[in-house]
Amino acid sequence: MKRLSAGYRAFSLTTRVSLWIILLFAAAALFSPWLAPYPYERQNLPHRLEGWNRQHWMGYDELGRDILSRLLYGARVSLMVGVVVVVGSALLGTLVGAVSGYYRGWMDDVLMRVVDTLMAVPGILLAIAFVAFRGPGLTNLITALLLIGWVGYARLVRGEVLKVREFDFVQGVLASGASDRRVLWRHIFPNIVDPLVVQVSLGMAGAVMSEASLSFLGLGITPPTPSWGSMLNAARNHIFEAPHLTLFPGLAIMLLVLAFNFLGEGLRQLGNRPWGEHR
Amino acid sequence: MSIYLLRRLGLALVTLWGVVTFVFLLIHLIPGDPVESMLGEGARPDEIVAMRKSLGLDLSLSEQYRNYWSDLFRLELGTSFRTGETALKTLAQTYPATLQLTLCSMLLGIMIALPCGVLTARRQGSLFDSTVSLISLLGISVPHFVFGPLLIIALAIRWPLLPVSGMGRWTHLVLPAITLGTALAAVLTRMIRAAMISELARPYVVTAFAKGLKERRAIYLHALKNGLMPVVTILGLQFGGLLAGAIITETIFSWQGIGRLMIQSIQARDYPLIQGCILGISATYIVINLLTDLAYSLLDPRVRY
Repeated sequence: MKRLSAGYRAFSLTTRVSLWIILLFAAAALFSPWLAPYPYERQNLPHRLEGWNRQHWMGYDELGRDILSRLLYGARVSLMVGVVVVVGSALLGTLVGAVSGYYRGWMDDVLMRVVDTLMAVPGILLAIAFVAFRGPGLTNLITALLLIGWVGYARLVRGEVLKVREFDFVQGVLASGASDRRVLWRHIFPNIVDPLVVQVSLGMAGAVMSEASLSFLGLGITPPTPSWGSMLNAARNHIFEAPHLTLFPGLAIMLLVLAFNFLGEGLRQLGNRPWGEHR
Repeated sequence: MSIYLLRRLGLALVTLWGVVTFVFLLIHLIPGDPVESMLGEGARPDEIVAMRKSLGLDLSLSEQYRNYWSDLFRLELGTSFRTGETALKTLAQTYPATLQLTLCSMLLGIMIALPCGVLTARRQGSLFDSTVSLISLLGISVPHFVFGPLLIIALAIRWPLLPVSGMGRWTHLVLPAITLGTALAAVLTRMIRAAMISELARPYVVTAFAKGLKERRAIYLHALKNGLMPVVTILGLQFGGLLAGAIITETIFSWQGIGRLMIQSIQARDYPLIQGCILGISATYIVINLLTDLAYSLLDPRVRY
């Protein structure tokens, strides 16, 4: 707790603001059933495409549903997909990268060729291809994003492990007869957490964006579950008469992605400082 | 040099092989029986058998794989279910439009990013630097499918200066190119800035300043030439971002390129055409990256694999 608050105090203003924005979105996601003024699927066709009023702060969508309620539930989808994808990719990538960088040898060669190949193709294209054939839906969406997500973590962790394992203290622990597992997790891992945390924060931005992209293309979350991406897709047909359908989900995505990018950037700058300055 | 060349070519071939295998396997990712799902619910059994035979799906997986490769070498990518045209012909029709869009976007991106990146590197910590950094982080965070519609609302509906969507005159190209190009500029600016900062700290640049060269000459003649070297590679890598972005941008602006074709084919479950689009986009990306890496090694003989 003490270290946490010390870390928070070391944050710049923009990093703090981003952190609060993320927490705000997380709260919206967690408590959307209580926060949302209306059920997200309740239609009010006579009012379709109408702008805001006292009861409906962001107006109605193409089926007369309350946009604010749908945005709040959409936060749930975005963050849930983001967390699952990022945690899953980070775990898988860390495992692959750690094994690859620590043991080296033929396993490293094989794994890194796989990583190289996957990195040599635009990731989102593979995700689109996967979902196009598997069909849309939450499970396929998450699988597709995991499929392309772990690669970045694997390469990052491998590089860091390669570096840290040559440090004198690691060689010392190895010489004193510690097991590989102990050296990896107790001695090497704590030293690569910093760049990993930065990557996780930037990865959240990427995952939220990818989910929204796929849903925008009709390949992600299927209706009636609201997702910011699919809301924007539906809004396209009404861009002339009801631009607010585009505006609000667009702002939501922008704000959340921006906050994660700023947080990652702030954490990176913190990590770049000389040792001891922020501890 | 030649060993580097061979290794780089090898990597490209391995990647290409990986992509082709992935694309080949896609058809087997379809849940249930692919032929039944292609024909829909009301298909007669004899239709299913005929379709399976015509697609070669009645053979064993290894035979299918071998056939896929031999078709590929004869440039037979299959026939579109929807139009009956060969996939290759349809791809060839839409490919130039995508190339036009991505190249214009790249040009726009470089035109914005180059001066911004160099100037922010020169005046680190200034108001200009922090403003540009803020805007570029904003640019990275705004997805195409948010920025594109916002541009339409502002520049085509509110103030109707440009057409909303479609193709034809050059004005149709402006909004999609801005959508893609500014996003690229945001990424590029940050990278050019970082590259220039590390280059400006090199002893030879310090010497250039010390011997009294004008700032312009020192920066643009000496530092920029070397600082831009890594940017060449980045440009190649970013081309993938452009191609992926084109899928969404073309959909927004009804730009009939390979990206929009792919989305339309997905919606129509036109599997051969989807496979063709994925192959086309990936192959373009792999070739471009191969060429940039080779160009890079020609420009900088120190580069070794």
